[in-house]
Amino acid sequence: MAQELGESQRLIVVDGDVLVRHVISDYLRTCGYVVIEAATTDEASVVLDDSAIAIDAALCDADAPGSQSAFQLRAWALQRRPEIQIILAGSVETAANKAAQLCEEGPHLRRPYDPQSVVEYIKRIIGSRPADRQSNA
Amino acid sequence: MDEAVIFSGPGESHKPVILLVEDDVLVRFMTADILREAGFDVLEAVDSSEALALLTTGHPLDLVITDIRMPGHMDGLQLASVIKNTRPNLPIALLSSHLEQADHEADMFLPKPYDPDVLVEVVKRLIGAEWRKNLASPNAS
Repeated sequence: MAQELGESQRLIVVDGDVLVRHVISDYLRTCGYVVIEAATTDEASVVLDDSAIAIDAALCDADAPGSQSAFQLRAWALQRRPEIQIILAGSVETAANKAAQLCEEGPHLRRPYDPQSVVEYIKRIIGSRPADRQSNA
Repeated sequence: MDEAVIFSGPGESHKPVILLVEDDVLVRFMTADILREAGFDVLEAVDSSEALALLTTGHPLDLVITDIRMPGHMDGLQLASVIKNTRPNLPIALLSSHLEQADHEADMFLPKPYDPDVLVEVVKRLIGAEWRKNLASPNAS
């Protein structure tokens, strides 16, 4: 997946938790990727089903919500878009480490920060989220 | 355009931040892409629940752009009302393909489909207004 500096590659990040999705996506953008955010496997399917949208890899939470599981999404995508690398992550730590790997292999626009700091940040903001966030907003 | 120092996580950002609420993944991506290309940081939310989750983190925000018709417990008009109650100085722009601009608490209504240049101009204007308010009253919003 090595790429010349300045060329953008496009990823899709699939995660049902907006706080995790945002931080992982932001991390990947920092190192030069164009990132499509999908909240569900259904949203990911819409993107992956459109062959006009070039995608290099998908980073998907193994527990992502949607009408099909992340594993079903991967099986479907491997048939429909075999050129796309589908990466499943079962935890925030794995997602951050996989994102760091993508940054090592990818556009290298900026040196990515330590993936552990991404994990710590995600845990901090999730921990600070009110139990009933809607009534406190 | 005025600039402010904001933080968006482990990486620092020095760009105005927009919360974009849109349930159509392709429209959301294209709109966010236009705004990022124009120099803004964009937080993406698929519905009002995600928008409120992002708002409650205390993440610095300079503008909310929300679709009106969205699934979930709250549409864009209700979301705008909640935000205006809690953060009255945070400007809000509504996007919709329907003519629903009659009764709303937003600062701007943009009909879909919109011209990307018009979107960016509107955003610059609203964010500029927010900076002026913050300068006049640093504790507001």
